[in-house]
Amino acid sequence: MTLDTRARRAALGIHRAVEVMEMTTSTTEHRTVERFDRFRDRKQRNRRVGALLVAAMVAIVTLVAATIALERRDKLPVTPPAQNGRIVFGEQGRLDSNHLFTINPDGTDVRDLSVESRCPSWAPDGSKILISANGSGATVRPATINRDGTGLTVLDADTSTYLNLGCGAISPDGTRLVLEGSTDRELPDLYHPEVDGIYTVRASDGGDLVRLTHRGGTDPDYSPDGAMVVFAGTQGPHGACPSSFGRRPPGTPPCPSGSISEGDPDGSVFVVNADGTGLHRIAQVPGRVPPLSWSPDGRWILFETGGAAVEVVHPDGTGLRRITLESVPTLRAAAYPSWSPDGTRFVFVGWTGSDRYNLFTARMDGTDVEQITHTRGIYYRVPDWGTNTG
Amino acid sequence: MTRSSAGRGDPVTKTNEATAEGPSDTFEDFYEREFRSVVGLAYALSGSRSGAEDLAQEAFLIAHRDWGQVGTYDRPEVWVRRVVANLSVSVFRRGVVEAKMVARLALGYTPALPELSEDDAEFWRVVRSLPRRQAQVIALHYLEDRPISDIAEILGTAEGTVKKHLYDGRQTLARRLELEEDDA
Repeated sequence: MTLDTRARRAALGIHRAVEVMEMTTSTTEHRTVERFDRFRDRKQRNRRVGALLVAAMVAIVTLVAATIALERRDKLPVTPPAQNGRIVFGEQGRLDSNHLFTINPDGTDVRDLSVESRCPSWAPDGSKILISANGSGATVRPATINRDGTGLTVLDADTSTYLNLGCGAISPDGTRLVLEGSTDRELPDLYHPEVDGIYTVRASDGGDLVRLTHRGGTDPDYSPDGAMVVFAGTQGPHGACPSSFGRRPPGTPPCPSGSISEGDPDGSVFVVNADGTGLHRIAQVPGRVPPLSWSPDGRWILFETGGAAVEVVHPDGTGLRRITLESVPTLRAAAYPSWSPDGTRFVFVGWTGSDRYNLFTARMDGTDVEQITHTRGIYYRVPDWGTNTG
Repeated sequence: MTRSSAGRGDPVTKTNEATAEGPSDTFEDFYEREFRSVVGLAYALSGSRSGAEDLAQEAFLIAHRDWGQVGTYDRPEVWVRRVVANLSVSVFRRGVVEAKMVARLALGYTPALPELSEDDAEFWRVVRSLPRRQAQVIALHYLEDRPISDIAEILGTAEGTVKKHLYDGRQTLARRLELEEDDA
């Protein structure tokens, strides 16, 4: 048999099959085109049903995804990104003002660093502690010390005589410092819009000064990825109660209760990108706010809010949540909260009445509160939980 | 001469006069005249007893949607064959049609197309194993007895290319079906 013969025969087989189909269907339909009408109607119906199914699936998937995202977002971090090391803190009372010590998280092995500073801050790698110190002249400059208090290095390459560069933090990659900038010249005006703001400098020597904001603030801290900075806003001259530094003219009525003095934290929390763009306020909490502590996973910012509680908020200003510390009935206030490096706990200064201020730690949900110091008459300040265990 | 797109986008000729006057044929007449041949082509190229009719209906549905334009072509039957030839060899499209058919068969639907004889089924199975273009050329050549020029117009390719596909396809078919060399 030739290929042509075989092919023609196979073609005939197809033609016959189509004829059979025609005979089968012509018994129920008068015209062939009626089959097309039925097909078209079925197609349109299927398309409508399909569109409805797709819309329903999209809605369900969106709902599930949004729910999962919200759950993950609102869940406080539990994944340990780093080990919990020693806590650095300042105290007044045992020795002199703002004397620095370190302590284990369980309250053991208190070590005197023999250094004074009002705002110690661990380097992310635990190798150094950032403090503020007197620079050359009358200005304040950042400085670093080793974990045992030795090796004081003042980072004063910037020689601006009008600018104080105070409390701040070391960037996660260790190359920059973010600092609060202010001036104390030309009193009695404490707030100087031309100077007050958040600045960064090179971590190695304090040079390469960059101004991030023209909004005054204190206690800036880098996000764990180094992309953003959070800081507490300070009160400008407009609407402020005259400062309490003895500068009020005689006869001036006393400031009303709850009013904020010029230059003091005004209860606002700001976030700005590390390049100075995108400044926005994420919270306004009357009362004391600084210092601010960014969670190790970058999703929360922790701050004090007054009373036996602390608060957390997302860096975009959403999800503000109050964490109450009810398991210690005598606790009247929780101040200076600082996140642990593994993200599961925080350290704070707790006031249990009279002259009893001590260091406490607690889980991020406010449970499992542990008092790690047990003293009277010592005022603990600004604890910062580091990664260094040595 | 104006151009329009069909199937995979190659031009199909139509007359300017026809465009001005609108379709010269009604869709119903066109459908009644061409449907059987188009189903046959879909059956040969897809091998799907249950899906061939749907592939053909799909091609006519596209023609119906654009009948204001398709109806003005000199030879709308060329256009609809190109569409069905492309649909039938499209793996994705065949997959969709087959999936729908499986669902309909489960609901008790019986395909109107009968089974082919074992010999004929074997022949078209080998045709479908050829490269896509060769299979289309072989089907149009033997099933519809189309001249080279027609096949070239349907597939939107040069006559020389059609001759090459036909030659290569026949060679391969002869070899795979174990027919004598001379036969090819």
